[in-house]
Amino acid sequence: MDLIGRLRKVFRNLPVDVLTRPAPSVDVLQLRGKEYLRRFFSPEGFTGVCALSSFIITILILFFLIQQSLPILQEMGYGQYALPLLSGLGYGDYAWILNNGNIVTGLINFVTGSTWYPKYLSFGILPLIAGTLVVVGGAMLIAVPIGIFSAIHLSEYCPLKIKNIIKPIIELLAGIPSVVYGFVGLIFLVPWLAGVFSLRSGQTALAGSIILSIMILPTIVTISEDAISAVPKEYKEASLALGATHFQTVWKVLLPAAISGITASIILAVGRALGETMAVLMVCGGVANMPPLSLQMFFTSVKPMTAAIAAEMGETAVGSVHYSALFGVGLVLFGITYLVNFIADLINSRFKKKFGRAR
Amino acid sequence: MKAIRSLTPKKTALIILILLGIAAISAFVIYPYIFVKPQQDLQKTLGFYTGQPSDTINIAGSTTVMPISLAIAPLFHEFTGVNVQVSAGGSGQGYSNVIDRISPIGAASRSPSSDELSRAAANGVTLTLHPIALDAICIIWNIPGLFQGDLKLTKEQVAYVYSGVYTNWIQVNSSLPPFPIYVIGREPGSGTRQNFESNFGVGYTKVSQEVTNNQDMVSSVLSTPYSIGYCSLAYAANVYTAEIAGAGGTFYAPTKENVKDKLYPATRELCYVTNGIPIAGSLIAMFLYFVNSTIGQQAVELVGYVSII
Amino acid sequence: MMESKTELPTVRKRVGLGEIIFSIPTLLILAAFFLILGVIVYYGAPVISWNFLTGTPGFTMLYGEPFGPNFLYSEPFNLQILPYGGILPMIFGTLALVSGAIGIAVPLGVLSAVYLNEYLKEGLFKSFINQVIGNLAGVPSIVFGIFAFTFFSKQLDFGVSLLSGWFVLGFMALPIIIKSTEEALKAIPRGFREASLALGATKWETITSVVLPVATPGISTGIILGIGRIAGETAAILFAASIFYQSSLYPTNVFQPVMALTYHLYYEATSSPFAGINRPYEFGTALVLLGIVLLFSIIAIYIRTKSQKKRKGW
Repeated sequence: MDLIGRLRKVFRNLPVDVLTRPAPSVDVLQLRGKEYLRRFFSPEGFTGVCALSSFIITILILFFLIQQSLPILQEMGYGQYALPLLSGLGYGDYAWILNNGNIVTGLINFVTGSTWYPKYLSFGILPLIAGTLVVVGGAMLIAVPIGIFSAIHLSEYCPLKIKNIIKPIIELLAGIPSVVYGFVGLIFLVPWLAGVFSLRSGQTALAGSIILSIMILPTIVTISEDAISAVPKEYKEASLALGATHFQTVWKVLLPAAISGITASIILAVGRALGETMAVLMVCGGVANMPPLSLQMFFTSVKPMTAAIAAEMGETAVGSVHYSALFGVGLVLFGITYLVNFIADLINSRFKKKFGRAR
Repeated sequence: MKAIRSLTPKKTALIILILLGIAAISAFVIYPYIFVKPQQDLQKTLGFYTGQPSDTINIAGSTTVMPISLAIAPLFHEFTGVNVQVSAGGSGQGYSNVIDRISPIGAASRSPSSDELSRAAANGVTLTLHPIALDAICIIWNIPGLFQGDLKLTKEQVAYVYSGVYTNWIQVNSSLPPFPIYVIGREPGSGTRQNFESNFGVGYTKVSQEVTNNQDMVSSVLSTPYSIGYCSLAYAANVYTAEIAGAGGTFYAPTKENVKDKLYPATRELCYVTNGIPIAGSLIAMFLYFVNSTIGQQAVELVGYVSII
Repeated sequence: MMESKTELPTVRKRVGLGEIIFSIPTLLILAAFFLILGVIVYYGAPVISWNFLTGTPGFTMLYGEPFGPNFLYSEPFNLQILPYGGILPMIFGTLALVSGAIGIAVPLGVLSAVYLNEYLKEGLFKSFINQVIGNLAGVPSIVFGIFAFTFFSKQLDFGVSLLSGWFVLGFMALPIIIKSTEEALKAIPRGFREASLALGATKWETITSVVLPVATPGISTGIILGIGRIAGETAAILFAASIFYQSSLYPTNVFQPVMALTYHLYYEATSSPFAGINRPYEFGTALVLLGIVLLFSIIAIYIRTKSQKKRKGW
């Protein structure tokens, strides 16, 4: 059989003496400690230490982010902003914790401060967060419908041969570096937007949203398409057998069944979009003002968090308050992406329970 | 033939990996012998330099000074074989590098702030500025229908525009078209911005857009009608500049002659910053000597600034 | 001719409304891809020449020889500003960064995936580590950049150097390599391992002699995907490894900065002192960068599809 032939080929690499080795002795009286030590100094321990490397790297990143942002958090930790908030929520009794420059209130003030003006030492990152939300939200509004419909098309309507060409092309789209996206956006999209919408300058949140949506589309399309294809054939066959049209089957049977996978893909795309730096840096304009709460928000120049760090880090003195504030922004970013990842994992595990395999 | 016929994906992958590895290793091994230029004879060219060609000079700092550093670096390398590294970061970065003793030299387009002076004193560093070029803050503008020489402003008017008092061109001068002004500024850490704000007396600014460097400023102004911005002399070649009223009330355009004669009211010196006076015969002394010599200043003029000798 | 997916007897279908509506988004995505690619090829191709690819970026050039000990006072010199040179040092810088990063990430990543897949039992700790790896994959690149600056450049005092770039890009490629290796290892049937253990090989011998060789296509896919990702990375090396120009063009040791393609493109596009005349050369740089990254992506996809086709025959 073919399998045995393959096994033969593979096992050619085994050491010569495997068949003639003495049986390993089993010591019934092994001490607990010695067993762990033996396992540690074996290949298992060595590779185990390697596996811990990801954990160590994450801890290192978190440690240095916190260490460098402590100055700004302590400095902003004087509770005159959080006190009204707490009283309003009914926790006025706990106001005693606000009397010191502690880090928690510092974090609250940092995140809710609405002016980012480093020259006058005003470090509130609400405009930056709002900028990120506007750009990412716009990107999701564009990319989610297009991505989901495209995934439906690829899994249900597209002939197999064409699909095998289109899927690699979409994956190539994911591989294009973000500077190239930003560069093309800066040179072509920005003037075009200024012309179409009669704006002064095309460097707006809308340009960032469009570029970002192109960047996250491959994520949504590939993962959603996997999810829709993974729906058991029985669902579809049963629906068709009951007389539904293909369209109705897709809409009312397949999509609801694949909703976990599609949601996972959307959340992963959000995570990717939140962390995107270079493309939004080059096309979003970079003015740290709060965007207005209307449709006009897409036509104003914004400064997302990642762009703020990239643009201002080069010019701040190491150890200054501005430097520390930028690390605070980095810490907030890290926290947000950790949260997004956590939610995606939760949804993934729910999907596992439902279908018995990931996505 | 048999080997090619049975090209499994495993073999393909291994072959590609091996090729990549060979390419990487050979690149690292071969390049010193192909691409490094032979060293110049130091004694012949710079008789009193006492250092080694393997020394490096790291000039970080103002993006305004960067074209000068970029122009001088290959020339200096050709004479001495020294590696001159040029990076941007703003004047703040240049001062920080010298204050924290990261590099013996930095580039700055503004004078040090009180914060920087106190940090330098705390570190035992004396900030010494060596002027290498003359620059001017040019007010650049874009009003359709008007051309170079049509816009004359006083420093006060510019300050009003940037602090939001004037929001329409017609408030600036009744002969201008009645359109809202699109104000473009620089990012918070910029030395050019600091210079502009102290020179023109601007406090809290209200801008419609912030750019991060001179080139962006110029292209933004060029592409936005009814906009105003400011930039450095070397970048203002292709954009309309406003004539600013000097001390006596006459309007001067930011030309090289006006800047050299200090007639244009918003000039500044571009400097290299060092810790104290460099020791005679050291690499930094040699470098500064080179920059202030004929050939260095010729490079300065080529870049677009005004020579200081 | 469209065949029904559920393998019922072939039914002739008209092109329904659903097909037309649903194919529009796919066409939009394809249009975006070809637009971006086309624009860069169209504007960048005229610039690509042998001089561009192998030259060095020169900003000023001295024609003629310096003469005499008093040359600094003689004038005038034949000094001109070159329009542009070439991007060879940047290509070398990117390749140098990628090689070292892969050198760090591959051993670490493959061994980690081996432990996670072969040794570790399912449970709380394993799902925790998987979550950590997924989180590391999602950390924004600028956060990696400032971490690299403060840890490698300041704390460990490497300065702005090739070494810092190796470490930070290696850390960024690590999750990709771990995930691909894990998937490759999972795809190997249990029978392989069981048969090898039954023959008397130790677990480690099984892993090195049986499992890893079979998983090589999957691992190489992961490595090449990782290369594609970090070759296009800018924000991570922005503060810790890259420099715009150094006159010796190449780092002579690992503690010197490098000139990288991505940083060069970013800086030229936004703040180059000589922009305007340099726009065509920016397109050339973008084309070279795009070519390198897409080449790696295409190789990865090729290896993966070939091995998938082969696997279907098992």
